[in-house]
Amino acid sequence: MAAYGHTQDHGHDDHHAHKPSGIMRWVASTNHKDIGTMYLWFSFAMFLVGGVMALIIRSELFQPGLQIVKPEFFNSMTTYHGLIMVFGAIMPAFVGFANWLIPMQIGAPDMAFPRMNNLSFWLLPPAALLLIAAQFAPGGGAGVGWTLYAPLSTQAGPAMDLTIFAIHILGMSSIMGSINIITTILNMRAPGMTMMKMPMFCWTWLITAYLLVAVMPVLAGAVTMTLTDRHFGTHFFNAAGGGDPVLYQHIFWFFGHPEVYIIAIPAFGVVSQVIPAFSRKPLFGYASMVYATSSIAILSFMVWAHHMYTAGMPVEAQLYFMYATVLIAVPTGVKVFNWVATMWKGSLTFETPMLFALGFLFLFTLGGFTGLVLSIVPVDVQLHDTYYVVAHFHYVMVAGALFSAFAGIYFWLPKWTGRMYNETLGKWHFWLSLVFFNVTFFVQHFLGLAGMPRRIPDYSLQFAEFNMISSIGAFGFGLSQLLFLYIVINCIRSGEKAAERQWEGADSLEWTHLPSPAPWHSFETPPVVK
Amino acid sequence: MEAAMTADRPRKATLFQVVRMLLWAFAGIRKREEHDKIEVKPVQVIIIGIIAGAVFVTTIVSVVLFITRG
Repeated sequence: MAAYGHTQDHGHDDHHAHKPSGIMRWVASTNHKDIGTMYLWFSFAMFLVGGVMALIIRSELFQPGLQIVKPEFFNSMTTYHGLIMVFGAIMPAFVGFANWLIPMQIGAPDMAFPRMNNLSFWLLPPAALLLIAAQFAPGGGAGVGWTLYAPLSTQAGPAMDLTIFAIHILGMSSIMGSINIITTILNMRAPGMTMMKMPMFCWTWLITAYLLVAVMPVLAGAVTMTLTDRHFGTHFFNAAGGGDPVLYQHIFWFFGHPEVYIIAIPAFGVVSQVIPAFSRKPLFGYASMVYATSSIAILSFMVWAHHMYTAGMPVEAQLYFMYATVLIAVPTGVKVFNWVATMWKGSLTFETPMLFALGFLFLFTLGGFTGLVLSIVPVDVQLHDTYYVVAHFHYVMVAGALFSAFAGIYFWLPKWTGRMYNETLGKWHFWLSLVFFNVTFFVQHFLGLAGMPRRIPDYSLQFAEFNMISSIGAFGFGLSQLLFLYIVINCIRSGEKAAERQWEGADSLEWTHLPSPAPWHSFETPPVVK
Repeated sequence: MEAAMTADRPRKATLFQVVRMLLWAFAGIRKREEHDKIEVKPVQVIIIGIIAGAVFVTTIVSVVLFITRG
């Protein structure tokens, strides 16, 4: 690992910490740490909103028959649960990490475009309000599924227009955030901080930012075509007018597959910081990790139609997408081996961040394997649109991205707040999350294999037991997250003082050069990295 | 060539080295020592990366066409 010289004078930084007070500190903020904090709190709020929607879904599915909600409302819940969790919770959470950490890890004073950074964040609350307001539009929320497939989306009520507008705004926010991250990493590294000395987290975000710039306009195009089909007489997705609804699926998934990696790659970055720190060893195969991540990013553009094997395509195309998808597992597998090799013969300790990172490693691998199962065309034809798919992507999104976000939050809370969280409660949070996550989602594999379709409010009697187990797990998982909220608030208010280098195995600049909590302005004079 | 190159700087990679590095990169593997010994320009990586990506797709398409022939 890189050796760092020139320890910074901490008093010097504190001297300049003239924070504006009151609400304007946040509204007009150009400070990367404040904006990062807002991103993280926003994403947690959205996580709770999306979580409540999930619990409405699981309540209805607790027993067969229609009990609690009407089918239209159920469809709306599945749609907005997906949209809010993907665009409102997971993506902003990792942008929050990026804002907090990238300038500190590369030795820069702030992001490259602080005012654009402010705009990137403040576009999110209006978009979230639009998604929530859509529930109250005439006819209720658009029950079209998070993929917003045509022709359902071209026929849905006014809620669809609010949703399209929300997606446009979220896309703008993501693109601006990405431009900021790319510019910061390429131009503002401290002297001596070469690209190949950067912490893995910065690398993963650089690659993710390029992915975002490449695919968010594609999504914007897809929903704009939906909008013009709805209101301006075009027929992009209308077969009667010479269009094709399958075109929508191709465009959406050309965005949608890289989107999976947009969510997963920053999660890889967080885990690549946490596992070495608690193994007290440098990351095994750092260079190969950089290259594997880049390869995954490039290959993610070439496999999109594995989401639509059953939509109707020639067998040649099915075979191409199947082979390409299977091959993409190779660089991902290399990453898993690298994390395992990092732990090999390390001095392991199992504090909460490490537990969540290990939970990630174990369960994300499982989610990857079910992905491989689904990539096989004849198998997917059976399992398409069943609960097997739901189980698969929740292993990737929840046990993958969310667990990694928890690992990162516990890991950096001491640096962000200057205080330690309660380790015992943190471990409780991990074990409760791990157990209830599996209770919720593992049984969904069986439901899918038995043929239960996704996005249905009612189901046949033979699915009753597993659905009941899954619903109990979902409520347990949801309640466990309130414990997380308590742990974080308790840490901020009354946690023990954290050390400058709380984790002795952590060796990136924010741990070696900055006090805890990190001062409001850091690295106004760049450190010299040897 | 650039006159500024000094003896202790890593030497420039040959085309073959960049191609070999990229093919290994598709599998996610690269020797750490190799990184210190040779200097690779980002432009080289991007151009050869795109060509390698095209070759990757073409190879799979050829295999598919071979299998579905007849």
